[in-house]
Amino acid sequence: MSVLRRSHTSSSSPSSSSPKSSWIHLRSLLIVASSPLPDRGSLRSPWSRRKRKHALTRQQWNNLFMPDGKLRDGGVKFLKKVRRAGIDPSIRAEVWPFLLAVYDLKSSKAERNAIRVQKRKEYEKLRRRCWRLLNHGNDDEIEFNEIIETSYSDSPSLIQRCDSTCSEEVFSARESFSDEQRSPCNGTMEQVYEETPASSLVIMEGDDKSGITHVDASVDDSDSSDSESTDEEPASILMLSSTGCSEADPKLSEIDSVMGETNRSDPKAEDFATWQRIIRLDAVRANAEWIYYSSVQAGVSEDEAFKFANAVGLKDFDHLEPCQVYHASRLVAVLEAYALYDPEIGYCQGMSDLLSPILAVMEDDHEAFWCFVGFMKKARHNFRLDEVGIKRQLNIVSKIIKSKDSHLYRHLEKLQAEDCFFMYRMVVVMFRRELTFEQTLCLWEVMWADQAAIRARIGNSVWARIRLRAPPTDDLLLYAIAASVLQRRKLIIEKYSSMDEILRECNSMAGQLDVWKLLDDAHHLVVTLHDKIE
Amino acid sequence: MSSRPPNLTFKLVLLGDGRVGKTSLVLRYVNNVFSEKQEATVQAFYLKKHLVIEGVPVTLSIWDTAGQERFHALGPIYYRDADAALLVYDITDNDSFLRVRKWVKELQQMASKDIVMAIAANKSDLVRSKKYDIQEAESYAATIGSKIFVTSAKSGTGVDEVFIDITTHNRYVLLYTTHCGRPHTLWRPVKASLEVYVSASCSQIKMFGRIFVLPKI
Repeated sequence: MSVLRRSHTSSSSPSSSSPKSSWIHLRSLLIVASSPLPDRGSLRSPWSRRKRKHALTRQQWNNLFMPDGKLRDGGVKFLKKVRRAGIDPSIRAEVWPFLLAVYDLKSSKAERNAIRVQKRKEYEKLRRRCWRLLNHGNDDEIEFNEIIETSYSDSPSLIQRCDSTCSEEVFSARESFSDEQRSPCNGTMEQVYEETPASSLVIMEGDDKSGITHVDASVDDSDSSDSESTDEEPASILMLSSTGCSEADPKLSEIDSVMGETNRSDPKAEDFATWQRIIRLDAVRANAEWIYYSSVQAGVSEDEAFKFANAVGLKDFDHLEPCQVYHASRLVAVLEAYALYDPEIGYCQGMSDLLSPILAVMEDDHEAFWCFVGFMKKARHNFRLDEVGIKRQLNIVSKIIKSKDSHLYRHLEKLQAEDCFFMYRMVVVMFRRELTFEQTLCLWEVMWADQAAIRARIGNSVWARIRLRAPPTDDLLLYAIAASVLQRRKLIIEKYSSMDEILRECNSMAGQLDVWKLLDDAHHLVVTLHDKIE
Repeated sequence: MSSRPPNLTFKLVLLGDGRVGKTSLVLRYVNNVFSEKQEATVQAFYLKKHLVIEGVPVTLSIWDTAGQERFHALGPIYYRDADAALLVYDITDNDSFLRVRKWVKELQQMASKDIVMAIAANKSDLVRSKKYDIQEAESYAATIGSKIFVTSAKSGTGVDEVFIDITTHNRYVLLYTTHCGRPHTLWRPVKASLEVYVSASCSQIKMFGRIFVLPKI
């Protein structure tokens, strides 16, 4: 090796990952630097800076409701506002369940309360199944069935059954997992209820402190009586019928199929045990940017964090801060439950990127879970094993570029890059790796508002009347992705002569994008192209 | 002829199961940093490193790919023009070695015939008193004509060695030709015997390779 010498000029591309902390710092500087956008006066975009200043505030949000708790005009005004300017961070936890179809836009307060209780039970049921699978493994099916039939009939017997791997303390931590989410800082629940605006949504009748134990007990009862039978609760039917993903209505009662998945002939099939493993590996290395945006969760005590880690069987976190352990445990809890809920997708790397911001905003696991389910309704297609979803989306990006800029498209063809696979990451994690935490949330909210408008069939006529030229689209993200390429057209055409160079450029977009400019440009693409693309 | 030879670009792709340390190996090699909390790679990640080997400036362009099986189909994009593939597994995890075998099979069928392969048995720091057993992996590597390196991105052990070895594995020949009537030089991997190049009516051939340079023929 002595004949080899490395030059002193070893360097890396701008995309290289400097240590994460300085990266976060750099990105936060970029927010500051990028906020005073030049006024794009001539452009009729709903996302110009001036309007951006007026994100949906708490007062506006409260005023949107009628006395029975229904949104005025079926949510049109609400969606219009969010679409144009995003949501004030302080009310995100209340608003997101509406954007993500956890609650119907036309629901009354009473209906929402009922759904909330129902969904919480469903989530807790999923968590119990995860726990059983984790502790009894996939190869122990006989014992597993036996447990379902006998030991889980009520809480006392379950506690008796717990062996050395499941101490009573762990069990109780698990059972109250979602309750304790609300009080990550050892304080009493009441205090946190009062202090955290985000949790105001969850304070509802029948769900006060005394009611919690009751809810848990009743879930246990139903568990024993139907022993994981195929009952589809009304709430989940409501959830599933709201979009058109008919090919995969996730069944809540498919443990057997999940457990038998190893036997499938598909060589690419992954089983639940694999997901459990990868989820944990990814959870302990999740992006920590959320910490700056959620002071309550950032302040979790070490004891509390370790209790949660114990409750989901998370290990190997010695290198993490307590708040990261806490966040990682929540990632595990929700992702695992999701893998059971939607076994066709299970878990794929990148899903934790989508969930992490939701956890940062929603302090209750069960609420975060259902928001995530709502988010995944569309996003899940990107994670399919057969890649149909991702290819369809990349194909749309390609079509947008082709329609808008044939010169650039021809150049991409020449480089065999017209399939737009170089944008894969942006599609899969929806700009999470390219934008800052706050920017990502802005983009997602606008995107969700568009999708919610389509779900609620708020048609073009409505939008035309309100001077928003761009009709809502299911694919706003794809227009934004195309916009980010088009913003670099000159560079790509003049400087890049290989696919590698374009890939590199995409890698180096991180921290270089301005979310409102991106939405501006995406909007213009929607205005001019949506007839051709959709 | 100018005294400074033209730059040689070398494309290396890292393949292997999730969380075996592909990104960490690259970051240790290029930036000399290590993080326990390295985020999962989605799609791929690019870094480059400048080296001087035998007086020849070499740009090593490194493509680090996502590990999870589900991103497998993205592989061809990255290995299709690659000069070399570094297959990484976790020395403490046998399953991750099976994934290496899978990749090798695919590369043998789909990638360039001349692609150089090496295997990195990573995370050696996790094995107490260096009592790891890589016999099976070693004999497997021998059957595919590759070498195996025990590495630790965390401690830095073996990292430089594997990257430099893989980069200098191939022999390259510097062709002095004419292009549009002007003198032109370019590096080409030595694919056939040297005679091919000698007979290619080139005025001069310089070659650099693993341990030797042939300044003239």
